Amino acid sequence: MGSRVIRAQEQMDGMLSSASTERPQIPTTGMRGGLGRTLLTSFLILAIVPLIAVTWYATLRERQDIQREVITKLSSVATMMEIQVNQWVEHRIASLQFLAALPATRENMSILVTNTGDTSTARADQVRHTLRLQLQTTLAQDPAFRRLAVLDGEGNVLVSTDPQTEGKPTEQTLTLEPEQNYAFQFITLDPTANVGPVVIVRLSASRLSVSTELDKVSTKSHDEAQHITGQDDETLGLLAGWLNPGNLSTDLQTVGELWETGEIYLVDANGMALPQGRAVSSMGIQAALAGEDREGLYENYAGVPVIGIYHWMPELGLALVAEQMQEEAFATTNNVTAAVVGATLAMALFTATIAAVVTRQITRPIVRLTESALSIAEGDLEQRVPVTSRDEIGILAYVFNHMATELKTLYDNLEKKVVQRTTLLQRANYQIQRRAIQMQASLEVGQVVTSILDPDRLLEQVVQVVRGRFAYSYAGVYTADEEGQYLLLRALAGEANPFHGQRVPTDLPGPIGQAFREGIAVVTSQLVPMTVGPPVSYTRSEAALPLRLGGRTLGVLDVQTADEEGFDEDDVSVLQNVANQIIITLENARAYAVEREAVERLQELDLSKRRFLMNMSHELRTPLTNIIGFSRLMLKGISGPLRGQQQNDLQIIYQNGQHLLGLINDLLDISQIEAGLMELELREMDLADLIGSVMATASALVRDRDIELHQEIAPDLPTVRADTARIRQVLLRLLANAAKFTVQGAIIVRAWHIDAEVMVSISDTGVGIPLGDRERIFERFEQGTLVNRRPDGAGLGLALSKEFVEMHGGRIWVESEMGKGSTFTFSLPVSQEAPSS
Amino acid sequence: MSIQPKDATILVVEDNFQNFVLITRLLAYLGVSKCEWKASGWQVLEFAESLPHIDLILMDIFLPEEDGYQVLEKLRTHPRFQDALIVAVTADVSVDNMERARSAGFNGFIGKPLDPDRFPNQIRRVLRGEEIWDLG
Repeated sequence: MGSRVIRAQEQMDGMLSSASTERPQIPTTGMRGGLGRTLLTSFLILAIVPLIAVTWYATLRERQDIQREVITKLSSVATMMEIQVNQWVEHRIASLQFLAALPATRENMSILVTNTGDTSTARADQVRHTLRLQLQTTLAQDPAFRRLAVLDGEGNVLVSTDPQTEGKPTEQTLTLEPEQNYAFQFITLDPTANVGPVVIVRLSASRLSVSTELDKVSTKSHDEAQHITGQDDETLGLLAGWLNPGNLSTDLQTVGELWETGEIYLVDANGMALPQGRAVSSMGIQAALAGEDREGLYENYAGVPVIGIYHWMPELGLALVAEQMQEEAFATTNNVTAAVVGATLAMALFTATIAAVVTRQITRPIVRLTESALSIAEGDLEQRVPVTSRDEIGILAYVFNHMATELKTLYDNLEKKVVQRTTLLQRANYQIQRRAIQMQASLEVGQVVTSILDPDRLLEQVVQVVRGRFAYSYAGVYTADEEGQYLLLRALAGEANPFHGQRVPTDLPGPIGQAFREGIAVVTSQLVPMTVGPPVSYTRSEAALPLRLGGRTLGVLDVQTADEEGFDEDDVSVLQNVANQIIITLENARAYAVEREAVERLQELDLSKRRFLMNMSHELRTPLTNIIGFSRLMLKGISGPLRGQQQNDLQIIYQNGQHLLGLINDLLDISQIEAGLMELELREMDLADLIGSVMATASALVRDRDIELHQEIAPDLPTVRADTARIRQVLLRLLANAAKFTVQGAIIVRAWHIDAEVMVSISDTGVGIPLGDRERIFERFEQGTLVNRRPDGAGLGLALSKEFVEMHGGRIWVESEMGKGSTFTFSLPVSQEAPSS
Repeated sequence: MSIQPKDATILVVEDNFQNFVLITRLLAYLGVSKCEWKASGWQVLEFAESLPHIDLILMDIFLPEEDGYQVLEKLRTHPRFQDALIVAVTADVSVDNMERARSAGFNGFIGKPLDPDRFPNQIRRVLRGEEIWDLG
């Protein structure tokens, strides 16, 4: 129980110590705390998210506008470009038509054609030369031409600005459909290739046909052309002019304003681009070559994101592509975005600042509250929070202060209560300890009083224990004399008292005398000088407890202490208890002494009786045995021969001596039984053996008489635990009895056993015992009425036999029929132990 | 060892003189002619040197001053009687006493009163070397 309390206390201590060492981690700054962070985040999200959304939307719109604008501009530029290219081509066609329509040209041509077989003639050479000059003149006038040539109907070069090619077929097939008067073949834009854009014009003999379309395109040379071509339809040959694409590119660059990163170029069917002068490819180019006219955002051949349009010109077999880099086009949008991002950041900063301020406004009082709560938790109940605002937090602070005040009050009350309870507990503890010590002392007194029987030693021990255990300065025990006149200080512990061992009158004033006279416990702090013995020098209070037993006061237990209030009610009750134990034990010891004296006296008496009997037996028997011995000696003739009458007289002496010895023996036995001194010598014995030996002795009893002696003994007779000598006596007596009362017949000894008893019976064929005598014969000094005539027995035999049998735990009884005989039967309990060998 | 009664010297320790006489007469009947008598144990020891060689001691247990057991103890430490046959002759007849005598070192036990018919024969057997333990 105790150990469990202590463990619980330890647990509590452990909890308290852990609580005091591990301070709870409470965040004390608003910005780091959850509330501040939440507020700040909320503010920022609220400020930035819409701004970002608006920015995103505005940028999107702006880009769309810009894209549309750029595309419009690109379209217009492209359209202009297309016109330009067409014009450029038409202009060359017109040049060649003009050349073809010239009469000189036609004339020379027809000469060449008609004199085909006579080519080596001087005339022919001259014509050729003339034509060549014409061609060279035109070439020189128009840098757009790279080379000019006159072809025959089969496509062979007749005359060329490049004389090396003359007389050879052209690299490319240049033909005109019958209805065509001119054609344009845009083979490639590659400036390095021999083949290139070619313009062919029919050289007719009569007149040159002029297409209406060409009229529309080139108004300047119209009149001349119509004039030239109106005479003959016969085709003389073809006039071919190879164009220089580079010339076109210079034209292209002059077309329209396309910002800094704007680009416009032509792409032929092989992907060769102009003015780049190399093969290029991009998504837009591919689409354009496939014949699509589109616009959109994509990456150009250089991998730069662009806004572009592309357009396929079927007549020319060229694609026109106009592009502008997105970077430049959207530059303004980026500015807008940057501005918005800047604004957002500024907004965020502003918001954060506001949020911080607001959060601080909100959290600072809360933090202060928290700190105060923490302080209170740490035990500082004086903590109060200043109420600065009238908002919810202000109310909270007010309520908190109220709560702290309540807590303080409660705590103070609690402390007061704890102090009260602690005091009570301490007092109780002290009481309990004191009780425990007193109990211990009581117990020790109990042990002392039960272990020591000598009253003086006992009292010495008791006063030592009482003084030592109860921490009194003095303890003493007084006992009264028989008359109650004087008290004797029997034992003391503490300061020596001159009254030790002396008698003091009981009518003394003071607590001891009072306690003795009135039989009550007397406690006093006012010490009366000279009570019984001087109170010890430092005694402040004294208690005298009466030693009472059965309404009588037999002494006083005197206890003194240096404590002023040394004895409270409980002490007195415990001391009274000790006093009771003392007197009971004293009485016990006295009773024990008396008892022991009595026992000793009894034992002494016993011994003297025993001695007396032994002496008697010795004193009586010794002369008797001498009488018997000497008479027997004489009868045997050892002392000399006897005369007839002497022999008879001596026989009478001898027989009477024997009879007297028997009587004395019986008397001594009876006396021993009466005195309680008869002790059986119990041994494991076999009755069959005993009966056998007794029968041998008994045979002398029936010698010379007409009596048969038989024995019938059951074969499985168990052993009995008995005094062989006594049972032998019983058997002999019964046999002697039977022999005495039987004149003729038989005496039969039987032995058998029933359950736990062995039965022995002696039957005779004697006179029998009258019914009225059958109980009486077992009583002392009684004989059957019939046998009074033969008074040879004091009548002790059957009584002794009965005593002996009953001392063995058996029974004896008689069955008889007058004139027929008697049967005496006795039983003995079967031995409980296994028969020993 | 067997001693003829006529050669034997027997010491009777018996406080009753008439008893001693009876014993002597019975022993004489047996043929024993040399009988010594001492009435107590201390007399035996006191006059041990004056005694002839003793073949058999018949000792009463119920003796004045010292009882038979104490006398036996002293006799057994005495060189003259160390080997002597000592038979207890006592009226205090009981199995316990007989057992006590046996364990004390007696060589035999004959209960009183002496049966004049049996006693001479018992002594003859003792002298012949037999042990007699008879409650009488």
